[in-house]
Amino acid sequence: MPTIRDLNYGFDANGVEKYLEEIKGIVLTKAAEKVKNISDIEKACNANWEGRAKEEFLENLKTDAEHVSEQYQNLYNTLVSEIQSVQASMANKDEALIED
Amino acid sequence: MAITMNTEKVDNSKREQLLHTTVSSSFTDNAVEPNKSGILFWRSTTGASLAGITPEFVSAFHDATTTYKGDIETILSELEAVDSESAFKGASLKAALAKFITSVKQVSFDYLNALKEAEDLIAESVEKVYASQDETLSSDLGSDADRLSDTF
Repeated sequence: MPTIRDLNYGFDANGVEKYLEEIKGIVLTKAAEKVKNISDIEKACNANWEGRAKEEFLENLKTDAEHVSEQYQNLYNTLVSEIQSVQASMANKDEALIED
Repeated sequence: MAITMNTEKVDNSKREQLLHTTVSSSFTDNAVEPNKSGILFWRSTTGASLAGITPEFVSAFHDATTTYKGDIETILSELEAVDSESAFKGASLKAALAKFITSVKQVSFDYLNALKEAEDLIAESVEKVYASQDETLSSDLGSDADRLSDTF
């Protein structure tokens, strides 16, 4: 029996799930958390810069990092939606290809 | 005592571009609107009871932002290594995946490049603003002292 690796076109539902979990781990967990973790920059600023401008900068940086993290979530949701849509379309075509 | 407040300001308007960058609902189009001109994270304000930087500020700030940038880039490089061959086969799906990875990277690099620009600008401007204000303040104090001398 062929596996997904032997095919030109097709999908493996288990493989898709695993793939999306892996992407999610990198983008939504590791990258998003790293982007939002500005503690080292905050420490460097707090130790060496004093003034309202510093507070503004750090507030803005937090807001921007949060925004980037939200964009990651939006991109991931789009990817999942598109992959599921293609997967469903392939499955439907496969079921309807040969009539009983 | 007259105190002249200097007018140096770091433009914050471009920062809005990041906050208004949105992703589209499909990877078949250009998923992320380009944001080429970067963001400025910082704008000067007035009213602080203490304002200034230490001599170590520039290098400490540079080190922290460089590490932050490097860590994020390392994580994102893992995306290239994820094997899709066990999930699906087909040119359209591969194109969608490539677009997704490109979009995630573009969002990230726009942000990181803007942070780098902000870092450079802050390193260059902050010292200049405080030093310039220091000169203005001493000039104001000098003319006040002259006026006081004239009075007596």
